[in-house]
Amino acid sequence: MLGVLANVLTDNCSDSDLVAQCLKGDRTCFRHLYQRYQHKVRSTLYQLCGPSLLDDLTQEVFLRVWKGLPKLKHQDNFSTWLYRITWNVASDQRQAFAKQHSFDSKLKNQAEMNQVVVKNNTSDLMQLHYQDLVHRGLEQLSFEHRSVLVLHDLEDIPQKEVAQILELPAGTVKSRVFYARNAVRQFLQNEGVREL
Amino acid sequence: MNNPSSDQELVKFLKQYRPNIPESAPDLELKILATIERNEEAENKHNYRKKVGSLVSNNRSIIPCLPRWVFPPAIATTLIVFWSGYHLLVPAFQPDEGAHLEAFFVNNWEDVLHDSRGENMSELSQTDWFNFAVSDRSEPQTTN
Repeated sequence: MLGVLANVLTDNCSDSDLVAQCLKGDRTCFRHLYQRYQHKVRSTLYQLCGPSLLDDLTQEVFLRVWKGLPKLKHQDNFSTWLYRITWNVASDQRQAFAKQHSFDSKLKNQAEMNQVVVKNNTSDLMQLHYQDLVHRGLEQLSFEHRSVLVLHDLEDIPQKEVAQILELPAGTVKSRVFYARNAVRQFLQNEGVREL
Repeated sequence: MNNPSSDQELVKFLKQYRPNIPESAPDLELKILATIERNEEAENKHNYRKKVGSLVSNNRSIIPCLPRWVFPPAIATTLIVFWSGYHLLVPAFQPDEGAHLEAFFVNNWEDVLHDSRGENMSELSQTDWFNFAVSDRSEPQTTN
């Protein structure tokens, strides 16, 4: 009963309150922050880096968060800061992928995609087909354009905040969103999607 | 320029058909917390060693570090200073002075043995004996 009550209280806590508690060494509050944001972090990482090493990358993000909390100046901007770390981890991983991009990793990624497909075998085939198209459509974008599209269109982060996360001028974000949308739309239309 | 409605349709499509995210390992949360704890312990140990190291280096800076070649000359100098100091403080015994001293003692003894003051001394001692006898006899009276 008390545990449930404590959970409800911490669920109502703002990010800055939880961060303040974390800075006092309270790991339970950090656990709540993890539970609050882990899905968004995983989702962003997945769209930016694919399925391989997803758990490791998520772990890396939250370890960097814990270590960097004392340096966080504006505790109200926790989510922006968290997305910035997520993007940094994804960016590092992209560079590592680029260095050791091999046939093996391609095979692994394909095998993991197949696993997802097999798991969802009962789903609608058209759904799977569109999911594959969206995955490929995002993959054909450059990392910079994909980052903007994922953060703004899939994670619903306003352009101003995306600019803060990526440390870019707002105008650059806007133009990248425009370019990325056009490129994905073009790709999907070429693949036969008529609804757009 | 695309119209906003086509952008909205595209975003809706992307959200609807975004690939499913694979589920995380069931123990991922615990694994992260355990790693944090482990890292913190390691960091605390590192900080403690760093602190001890800085204390030791501070102490070293208080006691100046001398080069090794300084020590043998320093020891030799110390020995010379002690040896010369001993010889300055303890006067050397000259053979002439010994003869003078011996003559002084001999004269002194001779004066004591053969001087007329020796007779006076014996007289004084007789008087003392007399005084002692008188006081000895009078004492019992006072006590009674």
